[in-house]
Amino acid sequence: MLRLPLYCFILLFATSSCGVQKFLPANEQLYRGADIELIKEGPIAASRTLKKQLKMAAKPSANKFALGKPYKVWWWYVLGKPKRPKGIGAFFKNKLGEPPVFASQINAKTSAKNLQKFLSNLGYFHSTVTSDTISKGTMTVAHYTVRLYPQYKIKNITWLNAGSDLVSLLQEKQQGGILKPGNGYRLSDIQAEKDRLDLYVKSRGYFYFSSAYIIAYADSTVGNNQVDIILSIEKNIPENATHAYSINRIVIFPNYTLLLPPPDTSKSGMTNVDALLIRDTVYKFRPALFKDAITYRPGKVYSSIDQNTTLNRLINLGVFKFAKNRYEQTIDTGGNPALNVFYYLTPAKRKSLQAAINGFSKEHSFLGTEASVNWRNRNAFNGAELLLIKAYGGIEMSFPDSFKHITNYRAGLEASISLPRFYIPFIHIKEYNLYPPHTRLLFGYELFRKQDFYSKNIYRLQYEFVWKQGSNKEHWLSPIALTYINAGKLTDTFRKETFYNPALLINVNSELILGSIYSFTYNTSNPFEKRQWYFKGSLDIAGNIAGLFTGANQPRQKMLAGVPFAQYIKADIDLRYKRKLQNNFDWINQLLIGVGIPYNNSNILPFTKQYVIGGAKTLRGFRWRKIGPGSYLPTLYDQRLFQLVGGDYKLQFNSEIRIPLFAKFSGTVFLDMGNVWTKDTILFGKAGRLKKDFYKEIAVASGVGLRFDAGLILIRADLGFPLCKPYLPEGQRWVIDKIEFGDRNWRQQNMVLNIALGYPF
Amino acid sequence: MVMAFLNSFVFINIGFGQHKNGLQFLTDKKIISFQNNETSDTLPAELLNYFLYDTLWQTNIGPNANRLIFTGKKSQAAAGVSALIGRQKKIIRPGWIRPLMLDTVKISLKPFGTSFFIYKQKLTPDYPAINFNQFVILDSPGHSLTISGKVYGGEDTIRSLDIEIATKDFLLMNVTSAANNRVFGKARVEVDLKVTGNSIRPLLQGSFKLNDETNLTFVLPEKNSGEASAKSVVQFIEQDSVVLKPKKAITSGRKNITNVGKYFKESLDIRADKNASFKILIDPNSGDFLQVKGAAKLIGGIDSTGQILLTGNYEPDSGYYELNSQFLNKRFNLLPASRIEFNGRPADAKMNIRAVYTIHTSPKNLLGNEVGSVNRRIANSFNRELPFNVILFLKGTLSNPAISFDIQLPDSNKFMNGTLKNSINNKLMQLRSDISGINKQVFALLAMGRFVGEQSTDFFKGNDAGLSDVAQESVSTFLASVLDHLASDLFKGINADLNLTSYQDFASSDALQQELNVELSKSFLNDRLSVTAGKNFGIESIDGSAKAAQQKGSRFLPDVTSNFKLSADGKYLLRSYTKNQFEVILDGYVMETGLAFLVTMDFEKFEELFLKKAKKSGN
Repeated sequence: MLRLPLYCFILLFATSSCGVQKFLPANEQLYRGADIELIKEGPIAASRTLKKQLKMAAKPSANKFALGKPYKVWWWYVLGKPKRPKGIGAFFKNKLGEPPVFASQINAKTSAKNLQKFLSNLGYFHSTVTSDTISKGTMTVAHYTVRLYPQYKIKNITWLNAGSDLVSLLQEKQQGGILKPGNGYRLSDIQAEKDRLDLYVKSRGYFYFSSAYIIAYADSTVGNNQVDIILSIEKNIPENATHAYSINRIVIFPNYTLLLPPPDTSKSGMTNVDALLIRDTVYKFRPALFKDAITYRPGKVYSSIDQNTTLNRLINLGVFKFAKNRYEQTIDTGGNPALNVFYYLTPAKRKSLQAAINGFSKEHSFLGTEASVNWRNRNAFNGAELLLIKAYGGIEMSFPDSFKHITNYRAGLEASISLPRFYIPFIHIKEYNLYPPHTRLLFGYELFRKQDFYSKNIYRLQYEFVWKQGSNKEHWLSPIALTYINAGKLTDTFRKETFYNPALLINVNSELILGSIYSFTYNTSNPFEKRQWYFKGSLDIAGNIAGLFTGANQPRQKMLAGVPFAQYIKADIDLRYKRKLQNNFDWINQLLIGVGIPYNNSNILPFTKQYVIGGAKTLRGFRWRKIGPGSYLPTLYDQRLFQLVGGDYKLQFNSEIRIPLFAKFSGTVFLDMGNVWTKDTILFGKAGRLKKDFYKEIAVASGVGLRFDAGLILIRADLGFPLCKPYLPEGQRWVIDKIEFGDRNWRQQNMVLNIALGYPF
Repeated sequence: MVMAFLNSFVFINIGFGQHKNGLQFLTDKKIISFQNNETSDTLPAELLNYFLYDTLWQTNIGPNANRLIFTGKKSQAAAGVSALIGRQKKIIRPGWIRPLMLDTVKISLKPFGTSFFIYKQKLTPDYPAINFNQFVILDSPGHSLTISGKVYGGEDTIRSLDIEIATKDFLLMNVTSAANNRVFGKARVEVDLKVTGNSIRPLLQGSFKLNDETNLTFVLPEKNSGEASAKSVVQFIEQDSVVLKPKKAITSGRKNITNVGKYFKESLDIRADKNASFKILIDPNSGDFLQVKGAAKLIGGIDSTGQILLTGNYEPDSGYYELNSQFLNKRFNLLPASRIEFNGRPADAKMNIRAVYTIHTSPKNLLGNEVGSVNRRIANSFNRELPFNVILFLKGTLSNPAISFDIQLPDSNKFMNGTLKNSINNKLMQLRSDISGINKQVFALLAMGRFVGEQSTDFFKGNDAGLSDVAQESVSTFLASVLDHLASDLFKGINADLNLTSYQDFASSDALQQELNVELSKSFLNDRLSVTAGKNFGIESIDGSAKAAQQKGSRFLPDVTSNFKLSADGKYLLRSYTKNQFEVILDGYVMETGLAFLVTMDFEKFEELFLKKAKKSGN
């Protein structure tokens, strides 16, 4: 299985080595790329990255080479001229191949000039670049000799015409900004500083300001490889850009349509609500909605932050298909420059009916499909409340399993209402965040059938808040997350099994989970950063108050409304780190730590809350349900009859390097490790229990994968095999020495092919 | 324009005259004089050298030549030649006494691109003057130009003039396209001029008419737009040598507008035939030009510095503005009542030109989301293609043009639904109050041939100075700068706390431009894809995480939902999603990744759903 793609690659290179030469036009050579020779004229550090940057800046870019062969050009010629310009032939030609870049296309002199400009934009003034083209065998290399002089540093930063309000504001903000004395000169820094200052003064009333009105001068003649930066305001700055504006009037048109636009100026038909003028002639929206959505009022100094926040909040209400604002220059009653603001909001249709059919893959190797119908009202009570009623039915199965009849069926009904604000009865929380918070109340019922075994009824009630703190921090709090599960319709097969293993009855225990959940998500906000972080932490507490009141201290001892309630504390950490490597390789890591502590009224976590391991997203060398907890190896019975083979604790670490291959295909090499453990021995005995030397029971797997990125979704096939099997006796767990790719038996027993949608992490 | 022509034509401003003992040539470089030597029958070496080497003239001058042909680019030819020939190969009696006989002279001057011939003409020196008595110059087709009168010479280089120049039809200029030429093309003139005053400030009276075959191109000075982009970020200076104090904005470029009147005292009619055509190259970089044709009647004068001045209005009968950007080539036809108002230096002439480009496109994207609920027939009529006029206003001076735009619905759409017409006109009116909005739509119409749909997120940009302040020298620079602004929004995002690093390295602007084009088409065409991250409840907004999630090839965040509209209205949707552990019931700590196909029908009242179906089957 592994060999096939390998052979393909070897074949690909071997055939392409037959040569592109014969295809090339006479007197043409392929361009092999740029070659940069750096000669340092003085003490200069960090020349490696600079060299790489220069290489990339040298145009044109050469064709892609692998093992010294221009394989893409080869495909280009081999596939020939496609019959139809948009046919399948053209598709492959463009995906696999690329047109050759000839030596004749190189304009080394221009390129050298550009490189020199590039260097001076980085502050390496007086550096020179000379070019040469060298024929190397059948190809041509552009050789650039760079005489690099030290980078100029910023000596002083001064402002001209200090004194005016605008300049003082700019000057004050500039201190401690991007441009600092002592920093290297960089053109991009100057632009970035201008943009930063522009954003700042726009939040201080200067509505008509623009970064183009800041002029930067540089004097590189001050000596000692230093440069003075002189900043100033453009002399032809429009008059209106030099004033700070305050807000004079805010007018809202919540039913705006081009068919019959309301007049901007007329005040008739407007209601004044909290200093906002609202013209809603058909009373579609409660005025209080705008009180919350609009974060500023007349009299306040204009700020772009208010503008963006308000617009974002209006869009996020979800009831308007289009929202726009217009600012009009005017003079307020005191004769000062001011702005009139108009919000034109075009409502979306209130209701919608939606039918959906989906296919999915779950973390534990189940593939399934679901059909659903939902009805929604976007403005149920005239305050942008989203009422949603959803009915669904689905089926999911696990193909890699050798067992039949474990297919799951689901059918359910859900009703929820979601509000674009914090909604807590009797309490009004005023907030003006960029991202408006949401409150949701959900009721759900699901009928779940495990084929051949049992059915379950699940009732849910959830009351939750979501809010964002900045663009990259999200909070989710569900003070009430209530789940009631009862099972029934046990089949005779299942009943029979329970005689042999009474622990199976835990599967069908009725249970009430009275929980509260909180989670926090953080990620690196700048997607261009080399190092990216993602963190998600969650805390799930259930039954603590109920436990306190009832004084439960034995498993399933106390009941609420005739049902034993679950009592546990569960905390999860999901930490991910991505690093961009050379050649567009990505190195991605994930660390998962989950700790669930059932206590008093519970001895294990409810099944719905348990941690599982194995399969496409966790340990790709082990199938789901064929690993753990601890050193336990699930028996056929366990695998077949337990709803899931899971644990109360989880530790997992994954690492993979993603390698772009060709077209939309990429490859990966991965290493997975981890396991789950139980607190109690009730299900899997002592072997599954968390011990002090748990680290000896960490399963390790490795493998390679192939991914196809179809844009909207990614399909992957990861082929894994175990390196360390925790269920073997201690001392024999590491099986690296037993790997035999050539052995059919070994392959059948160890290789796991994981096919799934989306990246594993 | 005309000034350039006349400057070259005044050949008399080269000094020549009789020196005490010989003949003196005052060239543009030095004075060459030689002794009056009656026996010499060869040319002085120094003079020969001057003709042969110092200037770039080519000559077949030789000891036995009785015909000289000079091909050169300088107007001194006339002066030099006349003196030499007059002495008939021998310096016998140099001086001004004898008439200078010109046997056969061909003068080819580069700026004129055509040859002038002088056959057997006589110049009669009458110290200190030279008399022109029906002195005839022929153009290449053989038309004559007659000069009569006197030029008073002297020891200095200023000459007094008293001559008359007349011709019915004279091919003055025929240059195809020459580098560094401000004027080129073909000029046929009808002249009846009386020139008095002196060579520094000649006084012209009479008429000067450009005939029907005239086809001239005037090149406006280039604005260094290649360096402009880097310059706008930073300028390099030496503090000691530059005064950095910002000056007060100059209100008018034409300072001497009030006192030009005195230079028009002598009446010089300058006319152009109604078939004469003129081309003004507005943007030499891109090749944007204004082509006009029509009769002109102007009054000319010359100010104290010898600068040609013009006054009067020029209203072309027809013409067009041609846009020649990297990726576009469009022609705007001139609308009636367009004109150029001259009042002083030709470069300061005020333009008041309107031109139109008509495009057929559907108003759907223009109206887009801003129409509330309408019935189906009207909604369908939004899809029909309609003609739209993009109006180009060319204002400002010839040397400093300013461009602005408007979009109009032509009145000719008689059969148009009233509701649709009102909606479009209302939208266009709304756009007019927002320059950046108009600019963006004009860009879309010109570059992509359709309107671009507005998104609510477009209004996050603060004052949008970016798009309203774009370069306005020519349509091409306008397009390039709009492209820049749109693209920088795409790349940078607009969120203050998103602080992305700038993608620009300012190195190779061509490559950048290319990249921008690609990105732009992607974003305009792929606005059907939207991505949300986290529990954002699926509504488009300025979301940092969503932007991060959108980064191609670096998908990293979980909890990402992407929607792709299969139909433009979003009725059919493809969605990829991830559900986390708290949303997947009953399965424990398990994530679900999937792809869904959705059909959504929006309605106000439930009956609408069935009404539509009934109508469909009825059709």
